[in-house]
Amino acid sequence: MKRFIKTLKTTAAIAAVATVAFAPSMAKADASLNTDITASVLNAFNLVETTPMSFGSFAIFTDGATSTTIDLDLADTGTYDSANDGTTRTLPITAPTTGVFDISAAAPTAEINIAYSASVSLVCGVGGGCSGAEPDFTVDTWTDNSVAGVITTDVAGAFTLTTGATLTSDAAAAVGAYEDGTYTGTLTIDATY
Amino acid sequence: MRNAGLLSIIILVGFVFWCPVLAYATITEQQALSFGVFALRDNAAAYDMVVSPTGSVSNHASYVMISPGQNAVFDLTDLPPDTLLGVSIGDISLSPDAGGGPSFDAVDFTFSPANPVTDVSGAVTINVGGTLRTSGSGAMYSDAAFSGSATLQVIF
Repeated sequence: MKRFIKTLKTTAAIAAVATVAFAPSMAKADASLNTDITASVLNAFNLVETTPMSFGSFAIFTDGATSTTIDLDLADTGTYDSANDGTTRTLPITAPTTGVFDISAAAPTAEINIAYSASVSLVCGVGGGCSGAEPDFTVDTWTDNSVAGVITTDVAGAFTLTTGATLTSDAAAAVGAYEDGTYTGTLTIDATY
Repeated sequence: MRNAGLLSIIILVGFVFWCPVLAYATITEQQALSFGVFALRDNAAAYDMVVSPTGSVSNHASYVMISPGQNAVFDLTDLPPDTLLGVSIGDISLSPDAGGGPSFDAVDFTFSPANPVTDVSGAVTINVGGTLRTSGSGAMYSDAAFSGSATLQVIF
């Protein structure tokens, strides 16, 4: 009987110690799960030229003292400056075309800022069929269908940008200085969110 | 004496079997938390994007959303019935899966219901939202997928 009581006491003690030891886990258990959280940055989108800007073909007369201009508006109609009609002027031969640039794969209904090179020189040179001694043209004063330099993409993240500009001849170009040839330059358009 | 030994075994075996039953719980992820796809205008300051537990998204203007994120959904089962749970997720960083550049912080996780209680079958579904925060270092983020592993902790 004594041994029975002693054994029972021992068992009770073990149970009590075990209960105390494990009590916190019984009163407050926990479980956990690892989960992946993601985000994706996509700043890049497409900007593709579909129609190069062109001032067409024209004849030009210069006097070595004044410049002349062709203003290319968004309706593809070049306005030819004839203020200096006695000397420096241009005469259209083929029509100019505005530049057309497609933006795609951008964020939907997002504002994108449009910026152009300050100016672009159109150079003929040997590659364009000239001697290299001819003067350049300058193109600047960009106009486009943005609102103060900001366009808004459609729900598909697309926009068609139409761009015009003004071509100006070199005021110092002497009579006959501009040679027959193709004058080209590279315009850089920055489109950023 | 034999009875005492038997009683000891019953008490200890009963204890051993009793404890794991109380500590058992199952967490199943039905939907992971995502902050979606977006462009960033700059990283000049710490900009926040918040995905609520219901999935609505609000963001600083520097985020340009391409496709929205979504809240997380977890099913909690095998829990004691009618029990108030404590749920939490610690802040983590989201690093680019490829390339370098700054990381994002995912912080301030929120839960719906805020104080979940299991039903009579010991189950409850919780929705989780969080805040994505840019580093504000000025360095631009590269185009990449960013990810990090968070731990959902459930206390009951």
